[in-house]
Amino acid sequence: MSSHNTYTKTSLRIGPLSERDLRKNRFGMSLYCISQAVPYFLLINIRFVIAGNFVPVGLNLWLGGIIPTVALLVGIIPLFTARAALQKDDIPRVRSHVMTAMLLGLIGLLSLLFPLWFHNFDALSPFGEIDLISLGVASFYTIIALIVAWGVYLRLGKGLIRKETGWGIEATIWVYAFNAIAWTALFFTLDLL
Amino acid sequence: MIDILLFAFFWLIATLLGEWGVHAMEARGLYYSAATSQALDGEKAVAFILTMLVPVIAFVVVMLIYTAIRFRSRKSLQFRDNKVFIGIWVLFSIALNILFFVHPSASALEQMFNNEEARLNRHDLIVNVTARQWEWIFSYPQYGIQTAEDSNGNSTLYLPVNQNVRFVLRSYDPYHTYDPNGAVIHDFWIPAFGLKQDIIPGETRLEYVHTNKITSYDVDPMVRVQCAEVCGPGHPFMEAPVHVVSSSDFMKWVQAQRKLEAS
Amino acid sequence: MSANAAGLSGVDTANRQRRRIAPPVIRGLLWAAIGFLVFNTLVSQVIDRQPYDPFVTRVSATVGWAAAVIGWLLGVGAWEVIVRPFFGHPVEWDIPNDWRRYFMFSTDHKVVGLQYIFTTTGSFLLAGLAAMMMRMELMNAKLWVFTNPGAYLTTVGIHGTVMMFSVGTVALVGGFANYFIPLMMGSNSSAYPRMSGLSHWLLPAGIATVFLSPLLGQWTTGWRAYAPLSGQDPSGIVFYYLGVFAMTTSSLLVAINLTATIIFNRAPGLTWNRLPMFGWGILAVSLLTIIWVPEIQMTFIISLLNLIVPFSLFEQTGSPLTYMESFWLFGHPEVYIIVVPAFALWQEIIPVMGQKTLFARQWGVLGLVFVMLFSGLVWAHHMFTNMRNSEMLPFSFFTEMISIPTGFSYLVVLGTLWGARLKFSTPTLFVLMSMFNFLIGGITGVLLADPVINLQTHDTFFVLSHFHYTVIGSMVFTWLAAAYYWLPKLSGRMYNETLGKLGAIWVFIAFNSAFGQMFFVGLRGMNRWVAVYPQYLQNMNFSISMFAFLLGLGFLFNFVHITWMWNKGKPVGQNPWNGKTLEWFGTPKPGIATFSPLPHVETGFYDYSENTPPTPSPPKRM
Repeated sequence: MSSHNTYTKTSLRIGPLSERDLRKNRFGMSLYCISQAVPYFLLINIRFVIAGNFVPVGLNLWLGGIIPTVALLVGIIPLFTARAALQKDDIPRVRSHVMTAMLLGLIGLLSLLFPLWFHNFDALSPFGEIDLISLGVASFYTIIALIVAWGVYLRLGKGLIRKETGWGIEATIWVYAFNAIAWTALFFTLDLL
Repeated sequence: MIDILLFAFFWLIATLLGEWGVHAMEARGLYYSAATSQALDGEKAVAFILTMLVPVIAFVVVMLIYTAIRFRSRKSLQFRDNKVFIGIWVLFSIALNILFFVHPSASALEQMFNNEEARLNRHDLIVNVTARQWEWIFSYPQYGIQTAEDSNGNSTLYLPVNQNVRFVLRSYDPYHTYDPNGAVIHDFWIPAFGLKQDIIPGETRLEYVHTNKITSYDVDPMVRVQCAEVCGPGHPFMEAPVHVVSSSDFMKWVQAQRKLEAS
Repeated sequence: MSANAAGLSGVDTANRQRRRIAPPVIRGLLWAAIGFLVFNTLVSQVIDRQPYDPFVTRVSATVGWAAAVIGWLLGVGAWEVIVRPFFGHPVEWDIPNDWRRYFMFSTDHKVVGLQYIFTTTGSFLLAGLAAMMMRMELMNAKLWVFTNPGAYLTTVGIHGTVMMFSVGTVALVGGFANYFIPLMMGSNSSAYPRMSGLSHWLLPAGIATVFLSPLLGQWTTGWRAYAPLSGQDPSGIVFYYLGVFAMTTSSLLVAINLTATIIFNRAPGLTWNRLPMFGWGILAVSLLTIIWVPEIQMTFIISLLNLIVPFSLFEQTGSPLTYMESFWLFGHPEVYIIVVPAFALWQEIIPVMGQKTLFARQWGVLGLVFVMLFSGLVWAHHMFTNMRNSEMLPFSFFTEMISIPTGFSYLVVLGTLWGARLKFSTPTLFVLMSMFNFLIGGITGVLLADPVINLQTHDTFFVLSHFHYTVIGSMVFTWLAAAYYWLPKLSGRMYNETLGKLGAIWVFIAFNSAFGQMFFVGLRGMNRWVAVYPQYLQNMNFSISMFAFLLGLGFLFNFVHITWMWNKGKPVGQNPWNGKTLEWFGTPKPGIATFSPLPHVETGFYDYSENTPPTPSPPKRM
């Protein structure tokens, strides 16, 4: 580029990633996971400081508990199979698997939002407060994961993601799996321990 | 070599000057006003740390000035390591910090914990301190005084001299007890007493002092209760005068208070 | 490679150029306003309508704010650069090579760095103005500038928040590091350029939010927002939480970006052993940011929910101490987020100015890394006045111990100074002053680490002065040192040495006179957060205020000088200081790749012995 250019173009690479760039992206995702794990640690910490081990009797273990945990954890699997299908350049199959993961994520999200809306125990109690905040945090990260998956789904439809340019799928796996695992840990310490 | 000697000379001078300065400040009172044994302990700790640190401060400052003036536009000496210097520096800084931790940190803290030991405080004067937004309320359960006030109705704190005092600190609003979440964090501080204690809503906290000097707000404005933790717009106004008086004067004041409360 | 073109012809570009005369920030402002109005109205008038509620409630302000920030980010360019490509559309974003590139989303690390530098400087001046108003009020023991103490406390809070989160945390990291770290690594780009572009635009949003907080009402807590009080005030605190969220997110993104830049974008031959000290400093800081910033964000989100839902987590029926603990768990690492880059810069500037091999480099690196590791172990020394006795000793211990790795930075610089051929320039002067100031800050820090002394000095002007010594005294002075040091690189022009030295001496004297006295006024019984204080402290406060105004003018003088010389200074060569780090070997012009081809590093950057070859070899084709 010369300095006579009046305009520089923003470069967006969707070409194949070099091995180094791939490592760099994975590193970035791991930093995302490390940093975003901290709020979960804080939530767990505050839960024990404020409410101890107390779990209210009226707590529905299914909604906002087991259902989203299972849905989100199972949702990781189709993303991995989607990546495997991408290696074979079988785009329709990749799309259908990403769609499956999104549907599972949506089930998880709805099941998280439902008890957030109709909490059937005292919200203004130390446990209720931290439980509602946890549900809200989990919903937020689930929405993020769904948006990421949705973008990948649309890009797949436009033929922008191919075997050589499969980072989008992997990024989805990172974000989605992080959310699933972090929520599972939160659910486990919050409602079961 | 000449540089090292010159530097050592200046370092020595600066250290001596610094020590003299610290001593002058110590003589005048590092806390300006100290009316309890706790404040004297604190002053001693400050004086000790400063005395020990003056050579360090002098070293760095003289080094900064000396190098800036001396090492200019000459041929530079290139070296990347000096094991002796680094070794001394590292070991000395570790040793100094461990020293400070042992004394005065741990030793003075030990002293403070001892002061708070229950068995040593059987004959304490107990003062219940209630902090509300934005007022201090003092009561003396041993003397049946509900709210210690002067004739204008302002809170006031009277303490006898040479006496262990136990302040029982609570933050709530006795006039609005229906609002359990109305209280905020305050901080009970008498500048001349040399220590302070936060008052957390929902907790009862204690502070122990041993008064050692007759003084009062009238002669020394540092002898006042001052809220030190921000507690809303009224924070600066949350203060009360303190009077440390002889025990006979204290008893006279107690009688007067009782009469005031009875009327 | 430029798949961005994706069918774009020059005609399209020209069309878009004609279409967009005003810079995208205008569009960002518009979208932000629309976002706020729509979502605020939706929440306060439709979804959550309560009788007698005003048009803007706490809940609606929060939701409206989120919409406004998203609108702002999309408006300045995230819509074209991030969102549309994310959903599979081609990138349609051209950056004119003129002033407008600073007012739009940019992926060029140099432009982002300059944007950060401008934004930080602006917020420094505004928050400094707040400080001047505070000092004006404190000239008199009675209320006379502010009409009520709450207004004063709101000013204190705004000053602290903006200085902390948009100057202290950002000036050296978001600003100079965004600009110089890729250059020092011998790279043409930061690791994640689009994220970097996004990160800057969160900062002005956050600053504006905090400055606009009085619109929602006073908040009297100061920047720490201690819990039961934060729930009592009028709603200004809502914008505090939200503004801090935006500013800290900006820092978090910068940290992730720079960490990856340092790890993955190093030029060939730039091994870990050769990594510049500033690189080490930024790496240490970034790791701190990555761990602790999400912690405070979650704490503030919980506090915000506590306020707007409302909950009673941190009230008397909850646990007020939990908030304080969560806050200081971040609050102390934050201090090191501020000063560690300053330490690193001392070790960067002095070898160059002394033309002297860096002394004991490995100890310098060790110092930076151990300060980072220890910083999470000292936080509760902010709570000696309210913690259990048994907790005092460990925190006192670690607080005292952290001065050991801190001392290593002094060891390195003093060793380097000894026998150097020191160029007594403005950056040198600022670094030496900064070291002096941090020494005072450190010494008083040792005093404060002692619990018994802390119980007297806590919450007084002694502490206030202590942390201003560490933040202004070391970080801001080093910031100015860096500005003078890198001015030739930023602008191709040199500052005026006499005026530079004058500026340095001016701020040094004013700073030490103002804040030096604060130690004593604190010991005499001046507590913090008071607009009104006992009469006997007035003389000292008056004198402090005078020097504080002088300090304010001194900063202004330096900024005017730098700005003036940026445009009108004497043009200067590629490498006026004869530095060896890579940034001196490229021609950084925003919008143009710096290194072409990439440099190849063959030795470390800090060796000034006679027979050392110049650091980067003559460019080789990779």
